[in-house]
Amino acid sequence: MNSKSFWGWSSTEALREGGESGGFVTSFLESIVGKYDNILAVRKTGTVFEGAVMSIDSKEDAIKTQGALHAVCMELSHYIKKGERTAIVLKPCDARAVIENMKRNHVERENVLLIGLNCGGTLPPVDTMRFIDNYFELAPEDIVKEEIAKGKIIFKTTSGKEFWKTIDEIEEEGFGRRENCRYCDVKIPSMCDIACGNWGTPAGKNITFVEVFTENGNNALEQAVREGFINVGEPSEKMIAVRSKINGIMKKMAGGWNKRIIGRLRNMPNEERLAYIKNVLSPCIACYACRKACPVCKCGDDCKCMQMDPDDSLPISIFHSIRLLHLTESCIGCGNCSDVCPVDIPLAHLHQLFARNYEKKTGYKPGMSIEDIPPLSRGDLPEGY
Amino acid sequence: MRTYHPYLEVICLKVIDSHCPGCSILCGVHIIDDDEGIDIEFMKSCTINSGKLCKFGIDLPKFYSSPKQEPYVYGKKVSYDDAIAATADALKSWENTRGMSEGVILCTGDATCEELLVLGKLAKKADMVCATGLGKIVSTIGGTTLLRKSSNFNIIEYAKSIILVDIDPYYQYPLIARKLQIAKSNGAHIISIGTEKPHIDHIVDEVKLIHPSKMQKELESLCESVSSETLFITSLGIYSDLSTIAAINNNCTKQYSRIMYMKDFANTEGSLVLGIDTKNNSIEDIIEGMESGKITALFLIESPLYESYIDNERFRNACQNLQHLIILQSRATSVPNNAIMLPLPLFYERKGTLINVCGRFLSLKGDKEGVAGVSNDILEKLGAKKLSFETLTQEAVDRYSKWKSLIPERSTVEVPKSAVDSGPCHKYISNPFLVRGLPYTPCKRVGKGLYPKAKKKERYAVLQDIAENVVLSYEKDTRFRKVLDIYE
Amino acid sequence: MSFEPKILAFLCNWCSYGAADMAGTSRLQYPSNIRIIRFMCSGRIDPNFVIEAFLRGADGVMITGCHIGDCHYIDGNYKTVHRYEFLKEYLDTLGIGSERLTLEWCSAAEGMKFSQKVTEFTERIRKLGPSPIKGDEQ
Ligand code: SF4
Ligand code: SF4
Ligand code: SF4
Ligand code: SF4
Ligand code: FES
Repeated sequence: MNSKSFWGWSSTEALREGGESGGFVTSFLESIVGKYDNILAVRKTGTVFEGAVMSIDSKEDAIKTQGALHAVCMELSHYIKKGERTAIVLKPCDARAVIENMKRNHVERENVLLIGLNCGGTLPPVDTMRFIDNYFELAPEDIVKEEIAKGKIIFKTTSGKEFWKTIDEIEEEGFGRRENCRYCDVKIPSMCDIACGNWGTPAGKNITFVEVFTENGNNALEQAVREGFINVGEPSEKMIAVRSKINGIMKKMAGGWNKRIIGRLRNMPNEERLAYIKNVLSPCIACYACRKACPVCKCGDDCKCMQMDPDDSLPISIFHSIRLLHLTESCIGCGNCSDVCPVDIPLAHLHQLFARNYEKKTGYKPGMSIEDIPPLSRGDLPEGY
Repeated sequence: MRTYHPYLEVICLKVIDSHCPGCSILCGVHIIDDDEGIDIEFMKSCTINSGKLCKFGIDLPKFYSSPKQEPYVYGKKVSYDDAIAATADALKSWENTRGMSEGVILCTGDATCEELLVLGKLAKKADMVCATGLGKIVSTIGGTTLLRKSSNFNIIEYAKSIILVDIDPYYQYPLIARKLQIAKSNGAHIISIGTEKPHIDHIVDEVKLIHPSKMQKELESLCESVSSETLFITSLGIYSDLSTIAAINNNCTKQYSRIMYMKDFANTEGSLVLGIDTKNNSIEDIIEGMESGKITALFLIESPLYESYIDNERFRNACQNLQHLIILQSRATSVPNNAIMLPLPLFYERKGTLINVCGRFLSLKGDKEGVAGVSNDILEKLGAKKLSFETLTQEAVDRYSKWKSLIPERSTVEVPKSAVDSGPCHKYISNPFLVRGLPYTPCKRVGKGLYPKAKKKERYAVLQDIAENVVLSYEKDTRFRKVLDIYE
Repeated sequence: MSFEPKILAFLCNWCSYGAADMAGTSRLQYPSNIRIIRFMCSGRIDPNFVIEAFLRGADGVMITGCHIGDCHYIDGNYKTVHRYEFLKEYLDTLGIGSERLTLEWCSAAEGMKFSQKVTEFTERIRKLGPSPIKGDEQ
């Protein structure tokens, strides 16, 4: 089906006022309670810098998941269990991971309802705490809310004060969004059933812009409206244009970072790039955390890639060369690997370098649709042979 | 705006905020416990580790999924209550038969503050002494100087020069390797002194390979070149050589430089803060005591006793001498036939507080009382009053805040003669796997001085990176000795 | 000492291995820089093998298989083609350079072609010099 756009908001007044962008997602979740085996979303656990996945069993649970959590960089796709009907709220990279897992037959498309959230980037929690300490002299416990809007990162404190800086400023200081988010170019999760966000909504109106991509999503939405959980309206042409403009700006920003981070590697002479890769990988302690954290690496515990001997004299360990190889076709750039590496190896940009070069060559971008077959799994004969 | 109290929520999917018990860095990690088993989730908001874990942390699911200890009395499987009753009986009968001999409660540190406190009470009731194996070092150097107070790992980042003494961050504490990397990029000069070349070539500027017996001299000669911006990092554990620690301490006292003592067990720091060790015994003293019959009862907590002591066969034999051996253990271990084995909940299942190596006060969010529960049951059988967990927590909090306001004293101490002579010797590089008696694959090396015949790719390979006449006994001592036999 | 490239060749059992055999029996000359590993089909060649060859010190890798349409397992060599394209991109990105990898189709009767291709490829690698990924110790 062609995608449809709506403005949506919660029918419950309290949720509309209290919720992020009109409480749409919360009420939508309320409407599907009981209709799935598992409804998964992230809830806050104390501070805005921490979250945990919860499975929503009641309307009260749904309310707990309210509010943006930009500083919680969790990987959600692995919570989906095969054979269970699951609805899940996720950001684009998680959604792409789910799609990749569908291709690997770990998740069935018809069993999941993907509720996507537009994403302009997430913040590494510890660095962000350090940042607010350094620049605003606030304690992390003082922050009750954070927000990314209009190119600014805004923190609200317990006393109701707002502190903000522009993303550009923060990022020049070495803080701000995670590196991979800066060059991530999928801001609206079009691979989901529905995508929600506040781009393209009139200011101060507490409304969510919802784009519906699939029948499944459409049915769920219609049902939620029928059962009186949410209200929808037709968005104005102007605001649709605003939304795609914001998307465009975000993508352009991402393009700039892409040039800066990945382009730098791409433009190195071959020898220099090889030396760079060898060097950055050499401190690796063989903990395999990057593999565990990676949402698209789904082999079991005794995978063939797990060969690493610190006394081996290979220029690049077998582990990393295999991972670079396998992820060339499937890395979605979620950045989890860099986040968890205990010796700070910037793995995500290495994997993305390979993946993006391969994408340039073949046009295949992982995680966008389950209809896309990865070139290596195609049975056809490519042109020129 | 709604706010929710974080701890009142019903958690449907069981995600437990926890800390890795691997070493006293106590990295934050979420433990996911559902019907499919145990898994971990990275806790990226944890200030200690930003979600980063070492190999051991990643292996926690395996560590926790291994079989749990069952209650045993003298080799027979019994119910928990029977085991408790047997323990109480044993303690009572020991009182009558002990004569002049002693009883020791040995807990190397894998226990929460509450558990440590309750052990103190139990020791009083049963007239035993508490030991951590660090007693001798503590009494020589002074407990407060061994602690890091309210600092965090960031001090590593800002040090001008760093001296690693007998520590290989690669194998032992990878999370400081990361901080060293940052320090290096901030311009720090990093020297490593020890028996082996640390596997962090990209960081270390200078490597000094030294036989342990020469360590003290080397450190003394270094004294002139260190300054207040120097940071010493060394590992402090039951295998540490007192003379090395004393020499470092003296350097730091003279030159006002800083020291960071990395510790092997989860709550070693806590046991120092709470002053658990009352007997000033080293592990060596305790084993000797057991061998000579001076110690006739041993109460052992969370210590894979048979696997991880540097000379575990000796330890085993010494245990056979005991009149009473009581072991509290969470993960199944070999069951000695003269022991009473009491099961403990796994680390993540427990509640309570911990203090990490930077002096942070942390909490475990499980729901079981662990040693506190077991000890209470024993105390009850002995006719004493049960201690409520809340009072224990309160006591831990009080003791912690009191300690926080203390100013650590610094003094030079007399450096005792090194316990190692200049001949061939073993060097135990501890590691979260090894101190728990778990196999650790990438350790395969011996010093070239001793075993020139060892080939690469065999269990022990020859490397140039180890000081002459030193054998790194990474692996279990028994296996290690077998290899020794082959080459001698 | 002049540079003698080390070349690893992955040959399909049913065709190019035969071709190599034929080149041998008919005493065709080709450089001795080549080390041959036989596979049951070029479709069995995992990209890992190629990478590992480079990591372990090969200066060039040659993959050969049956002509398109002649594969004994029908479409094994279609996969080879996809992998070859994939590997070329990978090698370029890594910095080894895709020119160190080649794919040739040789039937069992083409001993001549085989020896020619090997000679060509060896010359190519000789010109390129030692593989940049080789460590000092290899
Ligand atoms: S990688 Fe992209 S989708 Fe994922 S959190 Fe970052 S910006 Fe969002
Ligand atoms: S390799 Fe890294 S960035 Fe790529 S999908 Fe895996 S975890 Fe994400
Ligand atoms: S997380 Fe980092 S150290 Fe661990 S295996 Fe991956 S690259 Fe190596
Ligand atoms: S063993 Fe120590 S460094 Fe490793 S994860 Fe556990 S606490 Fe962290
Ligand atoms: S059988 Fe020769 S390529 Fe498949």
